[in-house]
Amino acid sequence: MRLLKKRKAQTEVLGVAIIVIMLVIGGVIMIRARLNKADETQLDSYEDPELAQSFLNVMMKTKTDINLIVQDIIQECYADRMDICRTGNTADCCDYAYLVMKNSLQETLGEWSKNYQLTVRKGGETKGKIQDISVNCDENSEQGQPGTYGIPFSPSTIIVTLRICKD
Amino acid sequence: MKTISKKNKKAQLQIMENVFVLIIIFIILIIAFVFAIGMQRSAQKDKLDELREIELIKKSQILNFFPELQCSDNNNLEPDCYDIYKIMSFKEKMEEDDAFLRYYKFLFGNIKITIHRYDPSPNTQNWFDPVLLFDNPKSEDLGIKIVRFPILLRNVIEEKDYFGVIEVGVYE
Repeated sequence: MRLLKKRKAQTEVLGVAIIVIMLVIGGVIMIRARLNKADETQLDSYEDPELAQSFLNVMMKTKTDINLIVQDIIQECYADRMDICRTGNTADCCDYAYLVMKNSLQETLGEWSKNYQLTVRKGGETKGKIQDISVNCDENSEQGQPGTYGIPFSPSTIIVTLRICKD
Repeated sequence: MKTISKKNKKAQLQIMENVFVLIIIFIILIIAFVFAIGMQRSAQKDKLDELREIELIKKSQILNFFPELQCSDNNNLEPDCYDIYKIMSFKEKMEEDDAFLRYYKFLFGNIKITIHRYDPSPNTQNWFDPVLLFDNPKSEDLGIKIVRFPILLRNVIEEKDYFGVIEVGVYE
């Protein structure tokens, strides 16, 4: 009888201890979930969808020191024109276009701590003539709406795509 | 007598047990209450940050409909494009005309607009001196929230478009 009563008391205390442990575990899980939650801010959801497209629209029309806009330089790259873009730092128009786009991206999106990927493809190309530019971003990364810019180049179109990836 | 004493001790033990249970429950409730207050404060701070960001978005939207600076062709405004000569003229007017400055202070509020030009050509690759177009800070310095967009800077006389960045900062 005595033993039974002792066991009853022990069971009660154990019950309270289990409740306390469950509450503590629940609290820890809630705190961790709150800390890990990376909410997209209002600013991100406003800025990012426009940023990729605005960037491409601006960059493609930018005039460079060889008096050609970037869009035309990309066309010359696919037309295998070497001479007009040959400078101290560049061998051909593909090189030139790559460096212009890389510099622009580094000095803007790079400085603003954005991760990005830029690709230039014609028709069904899997690998473009101009090297891809990527910083912590690939097709599998979480990303916003990509920006695309079409450059006419008969018989197909050269598509420049800029993706801005989330952290 | 012995039995009565034993029963008393038993009763005391049971009461003590109940008291301990109540104390533990009370402590748990206090912890939960403190935690809930903390969460509430954090949620309020997040809401305040969100409102500030919405304010920043509203102010930056003004620049999307700003014919005083934007490139135009037959009165059609071009998005993401700013006319260099309009910018210089606007800046001069800001410095010379108080009524002009007062009007835009009323329109924009406490913001700062800066325009940067960058040459990405491989052989030059440099940033030009920024142009501070408008600055209306608050009397107290509580910080500034900035949003940036790439823009074209058009020289209509030379018929050239340059790479630029417009920076809008809203004072907090």
